[in-house]
Amino acid sequence: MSIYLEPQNLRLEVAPDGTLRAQIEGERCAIRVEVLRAFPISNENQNLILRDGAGKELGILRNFEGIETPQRQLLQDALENRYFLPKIHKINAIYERFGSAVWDIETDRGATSITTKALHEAIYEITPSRFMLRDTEENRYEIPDVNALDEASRARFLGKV
Amino acid sequence: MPDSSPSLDSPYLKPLPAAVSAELLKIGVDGDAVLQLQTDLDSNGQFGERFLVATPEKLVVVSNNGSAKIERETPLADIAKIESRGLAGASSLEIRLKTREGEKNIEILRGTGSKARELSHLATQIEHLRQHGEVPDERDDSKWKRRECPKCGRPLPWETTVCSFCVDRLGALKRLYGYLLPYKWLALLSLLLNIGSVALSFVPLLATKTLVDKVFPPAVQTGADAALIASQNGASRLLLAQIVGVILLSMVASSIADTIRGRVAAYLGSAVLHDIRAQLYTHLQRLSVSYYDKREVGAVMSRVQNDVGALQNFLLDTAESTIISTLTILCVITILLWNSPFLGFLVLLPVPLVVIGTQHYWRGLRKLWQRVWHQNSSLGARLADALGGVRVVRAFGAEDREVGRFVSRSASLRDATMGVETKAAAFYPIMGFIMGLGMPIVWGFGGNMVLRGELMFGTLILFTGSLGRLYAPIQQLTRQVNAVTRSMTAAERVFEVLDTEPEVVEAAQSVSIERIEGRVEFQNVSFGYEKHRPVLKEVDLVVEPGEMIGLVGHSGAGKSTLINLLLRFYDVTEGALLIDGIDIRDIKRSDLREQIGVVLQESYLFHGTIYDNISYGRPNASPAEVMEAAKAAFAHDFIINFADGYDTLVGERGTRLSGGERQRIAIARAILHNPRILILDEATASVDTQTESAIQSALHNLVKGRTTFAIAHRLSTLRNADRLVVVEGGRVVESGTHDELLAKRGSFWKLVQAQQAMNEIVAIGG
Ligand SMILES: Nc1ncnc2c1ncn2[C@@H]1O[C@H](COP(=O)(O)OP(=O)(O)O)[C@@H](O)[C@H]1O
Ligand SMILES: [Mg+2]
Repeated sequence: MSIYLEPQNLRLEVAPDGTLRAQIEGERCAIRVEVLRAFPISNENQNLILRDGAGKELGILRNFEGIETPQRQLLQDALENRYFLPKIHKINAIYERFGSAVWDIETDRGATSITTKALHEAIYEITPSRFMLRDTEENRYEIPDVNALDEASRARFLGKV
Repeated sequence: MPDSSPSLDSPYLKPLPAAVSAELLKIGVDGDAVLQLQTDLDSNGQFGERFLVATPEKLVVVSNNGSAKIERETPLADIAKIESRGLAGASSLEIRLKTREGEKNIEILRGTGSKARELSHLATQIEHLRQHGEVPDERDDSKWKRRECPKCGRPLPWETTVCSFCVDRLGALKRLYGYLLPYKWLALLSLLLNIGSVALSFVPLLATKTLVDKVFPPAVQTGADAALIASQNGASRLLLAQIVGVILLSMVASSIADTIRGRVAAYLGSAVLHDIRAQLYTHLQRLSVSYYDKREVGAVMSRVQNDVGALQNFLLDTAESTIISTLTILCVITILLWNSPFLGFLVLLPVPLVVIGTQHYWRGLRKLWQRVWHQNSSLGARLADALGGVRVVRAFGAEDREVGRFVSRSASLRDATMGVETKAAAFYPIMGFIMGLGMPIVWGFGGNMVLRGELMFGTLILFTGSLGRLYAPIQQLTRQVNAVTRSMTAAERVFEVLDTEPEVVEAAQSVSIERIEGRVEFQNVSFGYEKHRPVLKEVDLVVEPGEMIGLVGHSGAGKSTLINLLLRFYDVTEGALLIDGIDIRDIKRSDLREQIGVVLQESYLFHGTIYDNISYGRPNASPAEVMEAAKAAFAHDFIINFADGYDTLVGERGTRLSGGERQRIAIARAILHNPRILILDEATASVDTQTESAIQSALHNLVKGRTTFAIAHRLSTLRNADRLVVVEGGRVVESGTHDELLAKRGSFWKLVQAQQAMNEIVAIGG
């Protein structure tokens, strides 16, 4: 038996209480459905896990394929809602002082200013061009691709790595 | 009389001393000896030579201290049993002698620790001889036979093939330069550049001589009338311009050469170092588990890091400055002797003093430095220990004690450092004085020679200039002797690791088994981690394919040791271990490893993501396969609950997992590995009962169709086992189904009783 759900057997909708409801053909209807990523960092759009409100797994979606647009939107909204990992587009400035650094950044979630500890502790590399930043509050920020940053931002960042 | 009895000269037995053979001949032992051993303690426990010789009929012990004497002659038929006993620092051989009054234990031979293995091996051999009338067929004598250094013939220490007498220091240097071979053209270039750059650095100095002698004649030097000078010096001006040009040119060339030289040296050093490091790491992975038993992982790591680091200093720095210093000294000496052999000789007079002084001083200083270094590392260790165990320190309220210890160590470090500095402070002024002696010599003797017209003034200037270039390199070179020695020691240590042969080696003609059926057979297996202290004794056990065996017994009984043999972390000392009827030592190692999976009590997770850890045994597994395995191990749900899911970093710097979580990841790893033989060594000991029963049902699926060995402390965990095997003191004492064993009311029954009593205590107490 496969661990995966067949997309054509899945029907998603928003329940009156605003939560997600899932109907899997031939099985009961599940409410307060949560969508989780099995590989949030290495492969965020595959292996999506659907769980009911009690934490029982309904099944795993291989990817978005075969799911119609409105339902796909529901899935994406649910993921967007659960996973907060701002992606950094632009680094306006990095001020370093007393072993910590203040970053003035623009992300896909808006512009902000964050404080990190000593840089070698705050930055970790996922691939040679992809980095994660952890601030003093344990929030994380992603630089999906340093090479995609503008010239000035990249120079600022690489100057610190 | 021949030196040794020819009759005992068999390919297996070494010749005995003539006196011993002669005594043996008297009692009719002549060529029929099949076993013999020389030991180093006499019957009073004093150092002395004794021999045991066994024929198919009898044992003879001969002592040979001054004169040979037969000490004992016992027919094998009178012996009920022969055994070796490990004592503290010594070993003995004991027989159970049948007498009319019953059996008696008698010690017949004794040896120091260095004979322990041979004694223990001899015991098994004689036992075999006694029972079967012949010596057992030895498959592999390297385990007990002491090897000798091929160069000097001294016996090698166990566990190593490196003779500490025969490592020569220059050998290490030679070998190090062997690593340069792949880069020989670059190395040559580097050497040429060194020579060029040293030679160029002398150009300005040599030019000075010409300037003084040719460009500025005495008239100029005495400050004659300006007009006169100007009228005379047309040619001198041209020469001056030429010389200045040459000096400038040599400076440019020298900087260029230096730049290239620096690059080449950096590249060469790093490349060679990388080669050594890679080779070392590869070799460390090949070495048997037993290598790590005897060493702390920290010490091995320090080899990889510190010793290679010391080599790095040598390759990147010392080697080059040694060459430069040597070349510089040679240049200076050549210039001095060339220009004035007599004055040159005089100037070189203080050199031996400098060399001897520096040598002496450094030898003393090195000891002091070692003390500083040692104090420093002990301070570091103390710190790491106290901070690492900070919870324990707090829990026991030992903060003040820890502070006290740290402060006292810091004080020792302070004293050691002060000692070094004090000594250094005295040295430099003295050396400065000796080196300074060259100057008065040059001016005194050389000045007189100039005045007598025997020496050009320019040459005198050249001498004073050269002196400054002589003493610094000499001192540096002398000091570098120590740096080189240190690097060579590091090199030796690295090479020693590289030269250590793995104990568990792939057979020359290994058999490949594509798919292991899973029949496992222990045939009269004995094994000890230290070869003379057997942990497993004569274990016989046959496990059919697909059978699940539960191993039970007290802790320390030898259960994990059985498993270690099956994993071939170690090889058996006696007997044989067969898988599908083939000796495990003959099976291709990669086939074995691929088809045996193991979950240990404490699972090690590598630094990396959970996904990496689960797929460790099958790096190309798909996400679906990984998730399926995790589900089977009841790990999927808690993994998904981590914000990063399967991408969560674990290991030393990653998310902290509970013991149960680590264990379930390890089980998932084993499930994905899908082995033919599965080993669970207290796999569920660290998880709570509820999780354990969940894992149990997962394991229930997993063990189907594969041979499984499960060790569990909670006997209830083994209820699925087809057969239980009770291990006690390294022996298999009972085996059968749960019910059979209970009915027997033997060892297993006692274990169960003990555990029930325990549970009741817990129940009452809790
Ligand atoms: N690596 C080792 N080196 C030396 N002795 C060991 C080593 N591992 C275990 N032993 C010894 O072997 C004996 C059996 O240990 P083990 O097989 O681990 O017992 P069990 O798993 O039944 O608790 C013990 O006396 C133990 O001290
Ligand atoms: Mg054990």
